[in-house]
Amino acid sequence: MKTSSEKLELRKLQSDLSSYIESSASSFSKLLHEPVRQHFSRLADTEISKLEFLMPQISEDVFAVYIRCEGDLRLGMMFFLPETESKNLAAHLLKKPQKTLTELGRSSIAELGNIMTGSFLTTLSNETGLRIQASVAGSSIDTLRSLMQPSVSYIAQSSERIIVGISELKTRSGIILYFIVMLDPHEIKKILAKAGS
Amino acid sequence: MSSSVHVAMGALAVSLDQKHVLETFVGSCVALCLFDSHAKVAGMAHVMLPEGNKKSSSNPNNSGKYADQAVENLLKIILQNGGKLGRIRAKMVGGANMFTHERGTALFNIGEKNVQALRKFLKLHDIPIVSEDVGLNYGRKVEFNVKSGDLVVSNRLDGKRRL
Repeated sequence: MKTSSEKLELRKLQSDLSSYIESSASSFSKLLHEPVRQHFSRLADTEISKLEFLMPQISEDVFAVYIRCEGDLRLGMMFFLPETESKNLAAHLLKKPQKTLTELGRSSIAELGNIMTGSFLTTLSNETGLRIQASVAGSSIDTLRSLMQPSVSYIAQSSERIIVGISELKTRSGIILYFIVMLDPHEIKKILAKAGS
Repeated sequence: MSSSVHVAMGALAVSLDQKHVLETFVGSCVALCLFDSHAKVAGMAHVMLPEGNKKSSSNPNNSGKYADQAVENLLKIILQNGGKLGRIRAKMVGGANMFTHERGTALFNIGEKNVQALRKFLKLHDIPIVSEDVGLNYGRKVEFNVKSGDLVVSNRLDGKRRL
């Protein structure tokens, strides 16, 4: 059972993360030349064993880009969308139809992940003063359950629980890109102590 | 009629019920199955990381999280339920490298470390690995039949196969 101060912390964290993701949505919008709407759908502090039940239920395989961050704060970020949608997104980015997801198409989405991560981390760093380094982007197509495991394991090294923030970035043309942030609950205070101070 | 028992990330389950099929999904994690066909007892752990510390095992839902503790915990429950060292066998699946850089370089090789750790800890207990499907770069659905000891693995590339 969470105390009221813990609930308040989570609400504040959701608001902060949402504002950082808004800068990623803005970068996404500029790259696509179309409006992108962000909907922060969930922030949860959960046991690792229950995490998969909180994730978006997507029946098909997904294309995912994963970036690991370390430094003052350790977090994992994953962007994903259904495999069929990834062809549409690559077509938008490359301005060229994609019957199948080509290497160039994959690369364009991975680069999008890099740019969006950069926007997120720059805003977070500016707001909090925390210094964070991001890994190179890794990409893959598989089930969401399989793809989230490296990120969860990374956070689970130091914690029995995990904080997961799930946001949906929806383009005017109907593409939904899911943006997931995972971090150790002990790290919340680092963000909240510095945000806006 | 069989019934599925889902093993969540970091958890483990042991069953004597011959109708049970223990199932999980693994990417970089490893599904470790230990079974004693004579005692008709089997268990599965969903291993996330190679090694933990004593403090980490306090939550029972995470008793399969670390390779070292998963082997210890599974073994303990199987022995309590009639299993005997010398008869216990292992099967394992997973430990994939899920993400690659765009030039194809593997990233974040936690999967391989999980597999290596499990081999080490199983060897410490003289538990032979009778079959495995590990490594590569894709996720797998794992179903272990308690009655038969059969393990069925499915992935997005090759469909199903029995181990």
